[in-house]
Amino acid sequence: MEITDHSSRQSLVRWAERVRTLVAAHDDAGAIGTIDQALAQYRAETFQLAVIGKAKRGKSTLINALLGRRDDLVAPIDRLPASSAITRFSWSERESATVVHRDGRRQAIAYEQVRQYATEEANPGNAKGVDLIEVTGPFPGLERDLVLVDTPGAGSLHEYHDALLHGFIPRADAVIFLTTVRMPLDRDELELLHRVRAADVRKIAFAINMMDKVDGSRAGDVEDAVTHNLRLLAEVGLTTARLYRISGKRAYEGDLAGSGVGELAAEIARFLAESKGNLLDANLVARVDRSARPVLLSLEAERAAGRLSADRLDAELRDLDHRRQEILARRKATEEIFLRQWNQALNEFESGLSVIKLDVIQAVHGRINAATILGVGALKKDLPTAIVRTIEERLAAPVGRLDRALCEAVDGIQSSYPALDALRVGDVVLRVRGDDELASGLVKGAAMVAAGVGLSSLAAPPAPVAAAGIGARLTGYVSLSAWAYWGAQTVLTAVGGPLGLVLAGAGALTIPWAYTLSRIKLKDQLFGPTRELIEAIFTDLRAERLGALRRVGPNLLEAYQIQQDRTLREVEAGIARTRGRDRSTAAVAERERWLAELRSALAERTGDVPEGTPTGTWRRPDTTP
Amino acid sequence: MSTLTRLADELLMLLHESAAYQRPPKVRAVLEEARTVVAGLRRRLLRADRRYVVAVVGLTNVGKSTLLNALLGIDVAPSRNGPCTPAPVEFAHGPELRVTAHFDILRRPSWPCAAAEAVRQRLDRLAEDGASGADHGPGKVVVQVPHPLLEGGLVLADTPGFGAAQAGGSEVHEEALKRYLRDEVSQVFWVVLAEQGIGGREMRFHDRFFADVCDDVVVTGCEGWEPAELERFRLRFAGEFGNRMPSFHFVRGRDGEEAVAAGDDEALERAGITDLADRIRDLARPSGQENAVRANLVQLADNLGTWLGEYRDGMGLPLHRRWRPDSWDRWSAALPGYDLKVQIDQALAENLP
Repeated sequence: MEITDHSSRQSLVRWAERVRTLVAAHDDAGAIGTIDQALAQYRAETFQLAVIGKAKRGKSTLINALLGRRDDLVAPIDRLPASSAITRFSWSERESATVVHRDGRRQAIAYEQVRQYATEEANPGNAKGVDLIEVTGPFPGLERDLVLVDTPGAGSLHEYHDALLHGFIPRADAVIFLTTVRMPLDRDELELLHRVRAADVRKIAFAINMMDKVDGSRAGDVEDAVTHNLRLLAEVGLTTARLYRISGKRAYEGDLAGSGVGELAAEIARFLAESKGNLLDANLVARVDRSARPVLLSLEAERAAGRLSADRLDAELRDLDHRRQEILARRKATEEIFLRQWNQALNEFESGLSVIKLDVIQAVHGRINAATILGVGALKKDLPTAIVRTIEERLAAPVGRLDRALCEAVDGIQSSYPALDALRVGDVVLRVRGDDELASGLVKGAAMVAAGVGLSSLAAPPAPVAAAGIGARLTGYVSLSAWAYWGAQTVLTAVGGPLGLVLAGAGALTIPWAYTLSRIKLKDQLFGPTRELIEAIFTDLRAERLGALRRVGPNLLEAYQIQQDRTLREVEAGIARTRGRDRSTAAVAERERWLAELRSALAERTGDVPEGTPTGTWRRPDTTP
Repeated sequence: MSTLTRLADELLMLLHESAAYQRPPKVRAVLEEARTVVAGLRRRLLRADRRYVVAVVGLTNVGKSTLLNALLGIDVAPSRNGPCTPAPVEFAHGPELRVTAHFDILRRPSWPCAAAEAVRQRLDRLAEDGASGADHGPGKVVVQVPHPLLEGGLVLADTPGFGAAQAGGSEVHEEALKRYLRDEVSQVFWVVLAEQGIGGREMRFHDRFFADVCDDVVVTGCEGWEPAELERFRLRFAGEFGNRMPSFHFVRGRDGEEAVAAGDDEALERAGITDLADRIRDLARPSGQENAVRANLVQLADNLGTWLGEYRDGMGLPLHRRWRPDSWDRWSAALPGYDLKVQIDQALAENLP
């Protein structure tokens, strides 16, 4: 690999700037920002090698080993998850450490103070507002032109660690992906890998750390872990010929030869010498291409659809206008229909309740009548379950109907607005419905009655029926989450769980009764209290629970109105954009020219970038494991 | 109905009615949450007469099997890194070592085993069959072991690890585990590895699937950890458990296994295994479960009392009342002189100026 010389660097920079100008003509601020950042990084010639991985994989230990440090002052190590900040290490004759705060303030600190800023223990929740820590020094192990980056671990309890890490990944030129021999590759690690791939990081070195933890008797574990990991890597499209087996700990303690880290470091050095220039070039090209290509593609798609011709623009304008009219015209009617359907469904359900109540009372009283005097004890035990079961049975069908009617009403407003952002709304609904534990309980009316009136096991031991099991969890879920969701996302409660919410906890009403009952001695005295209990459950159902459902209707409507206003605004913005377009032949020809120029500019360089499998192991001829 | 169950009932009513009575949504939500917790505890009391399954749950490869080996005193649980069956393995008491695979109600082949080695081989074979075709593995495997810890109906269950990425993206393991936890398990011991700490994903799994039946976190692999470091570990992670603070047990599974092999009771105790066995034995007794519920109730009341106090102070104006007055009166009149109620009373009382 030849070293990229000065003139070719210059021409590459000129190319990137040309693309930037072309993209700027189309006014895409996001793309310009990325190109600028890539250019700045290229000009500085810094090659950033990040050590990433899940929490507790030994990243900081490895960093210390790679730096050649014998203490953990600059990259603090702990038995608990430690690193909470991104730290960049680069070579310099002078020792220095600088904390870059989120507000841009730079603060010089001593090595001994790094721990105060870089660890979760001393800086919990990043209360000190650290954005980045930069450490320089005459590190014996560090290449002069390399920036080594320590990152917080993924998947810990501290979610902002993940955010920091994810934010940094696209800026890395290469990564060492650290796993442990102690645990098989897990989902967090796979997600992280997907992220690295999505960011198009061109070099990934995989290392299995903590080989020192393996004693002779468990040597088979290593092979198991390697096989498992290689298979998973292949599955995400990373065919790597080599997994470095290392012990960061041994290397840190001075045993470089036995640790495997020396080999990894040598590989990095060789790789840098051979391909740093190429890789930096390739990364610049890739980053510029990644920002500019979507702009090109979207314009080409527009042109292919004929949208850039004057006639097409007119047609589009008419279309948008039509949609706007339609939204305005149908809005009122649909809203009214929705509210009517919603209330009607509730009214129908409510009007049926009194008959069901009498029915339940009759059934329960029939049961009491049938009992012999000696059977009163057993009867008292059974009654709470019997009542709850009877209510469940009798309510199952009407609740099913109510469920369907409410869903239909909601479907009504969902489908009748043109261009309503159904995906976004659907997302929420799907998430709830797809919630594996709750799905069956949430969508099936009968189960929800069980859920609501349920807690059977609460009222009468021992009756842990399956339905009550669902109910118990559902009740828990609803009471925990309802408040959180209530204001923010009424859609959820409306489509997914109104019945669960409404009927949840009614079973608690049987509690005081269960011990009132235990004091009654005579069969005849049972009639009154049972009637009272059933009355109370139904009153509660009607007043509190159905009342809550009634209030959901308007809330839901409001959510849709907001949604729909947004759609309207989007349509109107589209109209304004289309109107503002220059439709003259000259303008069309100009756009055509611009498009061709951007296309050829991109093709000029991206032909140089090796396509297909950019990631993988370090490029080297010897690939035996 | 036991006094404790009645107390739970009274508390449920107090929380339920007061939640409906309170106006501030936050207070209502907290009271509702407390009610859910109490309801869960009450369900646990009712479950006392069923066979008592203590499940050992944790990420793949944190040493669940090693721990079970140490607890049962024989090397029967496979503890390697290879393919593992999605089925839970239950260890129950029996006159001899015997493995029974539950495929379905009518198909339950059973093999007597002469020694632990044979049990392990049988389990390995079942695991390989299960791993080769997801549909063909057994739903559950029962191993009978003549061990005193299991006398009296206690069942220890080794569960498939969760969290590991499976080739083919299959999530069979986790589904099976969720089902099992929901339907069969009375109590969960959550095993985490000291050097790995507790991750976000496993914490979410805990919250969703077994928080209500887990009072114990077993931290394995504590070989070489100083007591001060263990305390730091506890402090770091205890904060994440909110209302339901479990107790942390620090054990050294490997040391335990070795102690068992050497028949060294003292070493077994040093490894933390003896304490853990006592705790399990204690939980398996009805009185042990009652104690667990009592401890949970007291803690809940403390937390709730503190929260209500802080809420009032934080708002700068007095929370009008904590409880619906008539509900509080009924609660106050109930169960006079019951020691647990006195304790809870102290935490929950209005404390009006």
